[in-house]
Parts: sequence; C-alpha cells; structure tokens
Amino acid sequence: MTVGVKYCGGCNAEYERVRAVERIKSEASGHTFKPYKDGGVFDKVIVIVGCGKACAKVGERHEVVYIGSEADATSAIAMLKSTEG
Amino acid sequence: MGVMTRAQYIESLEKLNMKVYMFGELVDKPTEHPIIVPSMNSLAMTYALAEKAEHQDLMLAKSTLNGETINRFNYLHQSSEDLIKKIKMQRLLGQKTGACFQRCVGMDAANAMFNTTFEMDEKHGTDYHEKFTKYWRYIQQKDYTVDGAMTDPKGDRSLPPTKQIDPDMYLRIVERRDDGIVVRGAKMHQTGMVNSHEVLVMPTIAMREEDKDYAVSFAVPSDANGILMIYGRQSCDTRKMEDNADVDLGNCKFGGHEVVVIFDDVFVPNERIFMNGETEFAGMLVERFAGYHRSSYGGCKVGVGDVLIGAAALAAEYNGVPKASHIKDKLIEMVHLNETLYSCGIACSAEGSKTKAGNYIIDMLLANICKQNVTRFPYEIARLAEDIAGGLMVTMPSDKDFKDEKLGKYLEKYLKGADGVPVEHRQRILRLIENISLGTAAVGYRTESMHGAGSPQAQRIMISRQSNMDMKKALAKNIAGIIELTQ
Ligand SMILES: Cc1cc2nc3c(=O)[nH]c(=O)nc-3n(C[C@H](O)[C@H](O)[C@H](O)COP(=O)(O)OP(=O)(O)OC[C@H]3O[C@@H](n4cnc5c(N)ncnc54)[C@H](O)[C@@H]3O)c2cc1C
Repeated sequence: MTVGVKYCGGCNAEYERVRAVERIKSEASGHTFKPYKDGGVFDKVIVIVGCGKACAKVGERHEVVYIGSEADATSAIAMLKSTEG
Repeated sequence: MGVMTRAQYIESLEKLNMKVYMFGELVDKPTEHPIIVPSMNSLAMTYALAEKAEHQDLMLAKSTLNGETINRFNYLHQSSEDLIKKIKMQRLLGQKTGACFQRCVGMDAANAMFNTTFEMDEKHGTDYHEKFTKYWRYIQQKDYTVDGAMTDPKGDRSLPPTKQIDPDMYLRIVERRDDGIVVRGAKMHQTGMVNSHEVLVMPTIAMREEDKDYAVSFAVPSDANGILMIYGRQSCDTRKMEDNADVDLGNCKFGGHEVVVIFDDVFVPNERIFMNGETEFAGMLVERFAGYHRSSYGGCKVGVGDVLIGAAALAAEYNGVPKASHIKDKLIEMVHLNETLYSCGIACSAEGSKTKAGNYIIDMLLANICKQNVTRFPYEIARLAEDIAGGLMVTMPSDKDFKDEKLGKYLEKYLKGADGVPVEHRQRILRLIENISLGTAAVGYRTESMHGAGSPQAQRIMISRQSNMDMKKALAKNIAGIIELTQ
C-alpha cells in the first residue's frame, strides 16, 4: 500500500511524533510511505497528531488513521502488517 | 523560491551590506558576531522548522498572491483557522527558542498594510494596495524577513509631531521628488532588524491634517543607503563574548535583539510608498497593526512560558522538592496563567473577521485583552519561577570556577542538590531561569511583554472604546426594571 504521512504542526506534542513514525516505517516496511499532499493518491493516510485536539486536516476522500500516542502507533503497525502482501 | 532553507537564509543575510554599530564600532560581519548570532539562530528557526515535515502544517501556507507554498510568516491570513494556526506557530517557535524569534512584527505589519491600503485606495483613488500587493508578492517569493518599524522616538510625549522642538522626533518626509520621497528620522526598539532583509515603515500614532509629512509608510531594503542601526544592550549580553561561553548563558543558542534604526535622508522610490500624507488612515494602520501584534503575544510569550515552566519544574526536582504541595500548586498556577494567555490568543483569532481587502483580522477587543494580560502574567510566571528556583539562580559562581582545579571541588560538593542529579544540570537550569527572567531573554519575556505592541494604557484605551458600554447599561436597566420616560 502507499501510505501518506501527515503531521500536525506539533505545538503541544505529548509524545515523540517523529520517533513514532520512524517505528511505523521500520516495522511495517512492506508498505511505501510518502509525505501527504493535498490531491495525492494514497491507499491510507496516517495523521500524526501531537495531542487530543487533532487539528491536522487531510482531504475527506482518504482512508485516515489517526495516531495520537505511542500506543496508537503500535496498533497502526499491527493493522498495516496485517495488510502486508 | 517560496521557501528558503535555514542555510540559504543565513547566506542571504551575509550578502547584505548593513551598517550595524555596537559599542561604538561598525560590526564587520553581523552574522558572525557572538552577541548577534543567537538572535540570528532564533530567526533562522522560522526557516529551519519550515523544512521539517513534522512542523509544516503550521509553518507553511499556500500564497493567495502567487499560488506557491510559502512560509506562514509571510502569509496573508484567509480565515479564522489561519489566525489560529499563526498563534500555534508562534507558540511552537517560542518553545523551540526560549527567546524572541523576531519575525512576527513584519507579518503583522504586512497584514495590516494589506487591508489598510485597500481602504485608502477606496477613499482616495490611490494605488497603494496594488503597489503593496506587488511588493508583498516579491517578499513571499523570496521568502524574505521583514522588520516592522512603527515606534518613533517621540521626544516630548505630550506634544504632536509638528509641535516637537526637533521636527525629526517622528519620521517624516523631507523631500518629495518625481521619482519618490526622501525620509528622515529614527525608529526605536526595532526587533530583529539586523536579521531582516527589508524594513516596512509605518507611522506610530494617529495623525492630524497638519501632520501630512509624518503620515508616511514605505518599505526599503535593510541595507539601503542612509540606514544605520545601533545595537541595543541587554542585561548580561557580554557573557556571550566570554571564552567557551555556554553554561553561564543559560541559553547559548538562541536570543533576540532590538536596535535603534536611523534613517538619514533615505530615498524611497514611488513603487515602495504605501502612504504619503493620508493622515486620516494613520490611526487605522496603527490600530490594525497593534491589534494583530497584540494577538501574536498570545502565542510567542506562551511558548517561552512553556520553557520557563519546564525549567522551574526541573529546578524543583533538582532541589529535591518536586512533591512539595506548594511547589506543585505554584507550577499549576504558572500553567494556568500561561494557558490563559494562550486562550486569549486563540479567542481573538477564532473571532477574527474578513476585511474589505479579503484577508482576516483578529477581534480587536479580545486582542487588546490578550495583550493587557501579557503585560502582567509573564511577570507573575517569572516571579513564581524565581520562588521555585531558589537564590542560587542569581548568586551562583561562574562556570569557570566550577571548572577550576582548586575551586571546582568545593562547588561540586556544596552546590549538589538531589541525589543522582549532576551539579552541571542544576547550573544549567538555574542559568536558563536567570536568562529568561532577568538576563538577555528577559528583554523579550518581560519588558517587551509590557511595552511591545504598545504600553498597557494603549490597550486600556482600546478596551474602553470597544467595550459596548451602552449595551451593558441597557442590560442592567432591563434586569433592574428601570423604565425611562421617553420625551
Ligand atoms: C523589547 C521591545 C521590542 C519592541 N519591538 C518593536 C518593533 O519591532 N517595532 C516597533 O515599531 N516597536 C517595537 N517596540 C516599541 C513599543 O511599541 C514601544 O515600546 C511602546 O509603544 C511604548 O513606547 P515607548 O517605549 O516610547 O514608551 P513611552 O511611550 O515613553 O511610554 C512610557 C510610559 O509613558 C506613558 N505615556 C506615553 N505617552 C503618553 C502620553 N501622551 N500621555 C500619557 N501617558 C503617556 C505610557 O503609557 C507609558 O506608561 C518594542 C519595544 C520593546 C520594549
């Protein structure tokens, strides 16, 4: 799958967002990760939000997975791995 | 270009031929001077964060002038959501630098200039808005930093510009030519001017008919002929000149600066003039710029506050008292005050509205409330930080003593705090608290909170004007059952 990665701006991050993404990328390495762009084509988009406000926005037509903690990252890894061909 | 990298930004500054004076001497290379470099690093952070995917949601925006992706510091806000993102971006920058990052003034000036010039043209049939839009498109495309220059020396504050003994106490037009104007005067307290490519000049007060020569707005490069800058001193500034300066600085990487800028008969070509004698619009420009800037403090000061609160919490840990109930309560109070400022920044943005020119402006009353709180809360936050830190933050010997063969062992022994905490960590955190509450960064965290974007009384005047007191009186009469006889 092609997975878009979109970060919120990070003004109130409650965990290390970049480290969480690195972990997802390395543990679910069967997928292709690309920076999210409006209008881009992605099978899924992971939106990395620093806190519960989850203020980052992506286009409505995408299948979106919100990551707001290390635990969410772990769940996302499991989900992505289960879809690895 | 649209977005410069940090390295390109510094390279672009090196190409400027600015006249910067410090301690009576012309500074050879401002980008390498140890007193200036920390402030350059702070401003450079506005470029560095824009390079990082994990911050771009706040740092970048799509220009409505040229369709390119640009730095949000050069953006003309298009919605309340944009204004909120601006506040969040400023908080982020305060968190990353623990200092003033200097790029807000130009952003706030540009947004005010964009909508004021539109309304000037509507009234006078002038072409200032078109000229300003063209200029700002150039700034966005180059990703330049622009200094916002409003504050005049003002001489005797009780007198208007034309009644001053020295007519140059407010910057003025001294010559009108076919191809432009020549201006003379000075702008005080200019934040980040040495780290800026351009300066955008505005009048400092509302003007009367006779003040025509003083109602002037324009932009010139910061190294234009006739401009010179005299660098402002900050408390503890020369610590940066010491050998291997690090621990004693508290924040060795970042800082801010202000300069006195002299305009010694500077020529401004016609295409860069955005107000030329339209006295009745000087007040609108001042109010709008001040409004944007007063809201900005609900972001930047909060970010620095985050750093100071974190430092106070660490100082308590290093002193072995993190669990003391009064310490916990004081930290809660600091957070409460800091988040109240943030709430004000967010509120005046959320209540923003569209101007005739199309860009968004903050809610004026709430922006003034925001800044009025900023004139107080950082002082209280700093007071609580000093309480928690203990006296050592101002009596601690120099790092050289800690490193001295003979003295070091005494300091290592007697300045130890909680078990397991290296003495150097304690030193560093106490120095950081000193830096923000009464060292170089206190310029931005304290006195700028007081006077920047206008002294407290300036906000109270605006609050009084915007308070809608008649409506409040009518509400009270209605509830109290007061029925007035109509004639
Ligand atoms: C750190 C810092 C950074 C700044 N950065 C910038 C910048 O980047 N760009 C910029 O343009 N400006 C900047 N300013 C300037 C700021 O806007 C001014 O400091 C502010 O407007 C107050 O002006 P002043 O310093 O001349 O003080 P004054 O105007 O002298 O005020 C001192 C006191 O006198 C009172 N007072 C003044 N005039 C009157 C009067 N007529 N009647 C009654 N009372 C009066 C005031 O209310 C205040 O209590 C900065 C200031 C600081 C401290």
